[in-house]
Amino acid sequence: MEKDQFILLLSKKLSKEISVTEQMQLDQALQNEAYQQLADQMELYFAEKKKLNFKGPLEATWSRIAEAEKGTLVNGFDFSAHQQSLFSSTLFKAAAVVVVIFGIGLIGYYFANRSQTTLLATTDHKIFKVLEDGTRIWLNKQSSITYNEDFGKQQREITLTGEAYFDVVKIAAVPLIVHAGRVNIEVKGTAFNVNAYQNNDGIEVALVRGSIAVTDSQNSKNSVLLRPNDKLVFSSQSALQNQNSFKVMVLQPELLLKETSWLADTLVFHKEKLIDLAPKLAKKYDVSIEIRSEKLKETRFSGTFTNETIDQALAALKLSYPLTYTINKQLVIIKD
Amino acid sequence: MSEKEKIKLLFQEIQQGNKTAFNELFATYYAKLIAFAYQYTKQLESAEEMSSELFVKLWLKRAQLSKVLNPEVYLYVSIKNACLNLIRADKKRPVLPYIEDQSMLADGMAVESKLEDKELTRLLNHAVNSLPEQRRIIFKLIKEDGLKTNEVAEILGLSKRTVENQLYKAVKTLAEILSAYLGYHPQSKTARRQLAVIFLMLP
Repeated sequence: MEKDQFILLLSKKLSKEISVTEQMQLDQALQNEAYQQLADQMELYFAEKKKLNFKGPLEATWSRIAEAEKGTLVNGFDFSAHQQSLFSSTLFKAAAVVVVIFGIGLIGYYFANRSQTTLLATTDHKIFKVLEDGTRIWLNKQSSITYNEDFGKQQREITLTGEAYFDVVKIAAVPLIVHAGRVNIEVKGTAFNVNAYQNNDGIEVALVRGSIAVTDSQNSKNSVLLRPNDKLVFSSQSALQNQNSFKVMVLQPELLLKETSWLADTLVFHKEKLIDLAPKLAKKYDVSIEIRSEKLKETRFSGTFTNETIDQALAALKLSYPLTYTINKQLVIIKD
Repeated sequence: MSEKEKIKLLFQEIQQGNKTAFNELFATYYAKLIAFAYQYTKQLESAEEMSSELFVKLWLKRAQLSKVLNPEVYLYVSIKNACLNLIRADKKRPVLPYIEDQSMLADGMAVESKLEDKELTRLLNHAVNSLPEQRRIIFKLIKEDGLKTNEVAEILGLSKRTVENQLYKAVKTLAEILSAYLGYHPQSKTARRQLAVIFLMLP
């Protein structure tokens, strides 16, 4: 009998959950002397018994019971089940960060005015800027950042709506803090991407190198330290329901490239549903896309688009899955 | 009477206020629960306090013991919850290393080994303590506390399949060590006979 098979039967025997058939098979196997020996020693090892002198602790326990009945016992432990957050075993470090919630229009501008005066905004284009301290920022379309006037000297605070990629120069004495919607990111000298468009429920932060601490501004205990290749997704929906609002995943390098591919006008997608891919295509090519097939919406595609025209891109998609499309000025319609 | 039936009976008796039954339950489970808690807390003191406090709570709330469907699982799950709540509440606590030689830990806690070869026992213990955490917990619950795989599954919130698989892997690890050891220290009659023959043949 194969050794693994024998081990499996043995483990069932040891947990006392071996079936009649299995026992017969085991007996058969035990005709092999080496196996017999192994089994014997293992059974002996399993027969070890722990003995504890419990008299002392037992008396102590009764004393505690007496105290409790008098009402003088202080309870230390909580034996009830609490909702387990998915990532409770992740290393959490508290990074105390102050929140400034970015509002739209006047309100936002008011906050911005208090200590942040410079505004950088994009509509249909992307911009690249180097700040006074050497920090480099790429701003995607439909995005804006504001930062304090004397950026770099005594504070470095940036407020973002939309999407930006930051390559931050490390200045130990002056931490750099990015406020994106409800999330605050304290930066230690590093490169990372933040996706915080206002009309999206989720805020995503992907770390390329260095280390950053991300905190929920409305619940400062909820804070995560990211490592390179980590991507954090914050969902205010789940925060409302009191579930863990931070989800951190570790990305494969190709996927990390995807997070920052908008930088180079490259569109990289990996097993993405057409319904999720369409807005990205729309942004890259400045078109509106309509998908007129429920099935197509759910179909997944993988690929990379760099210099293709929209026509070529759609033709490429068509190669992987039957679809038809029409392009009429700025409107693209996809059907099956 | 199976362990399961015994503990059910004890719970019934304790509900009636039977202190002897309580002491019996304590004697049976106190050490096991400490060992289990220790796997999470890595600190003996909190494991001991936790175990004691659970029994206190059990006595104080004995009127409701009949509501507990599975007493054994209940004890372990309560300890597990307390450990996880403790760990979560105290994140600043440094992650402590798992101390192997538990025979030194509690006062008067002795391990009776049926395995004659001390060296072999030491090797096997070391192997067990070096297992990945969840596998180690599962293995110890089955080996030391005599729990069934479905009970372990329920306590830890895993599938029975996972538990069986982890047990299998643990046993496999130990089997490797045993095989290697027995190869160097032949204990079979055949091997001894062979050795004897060799010695006899030497001039």
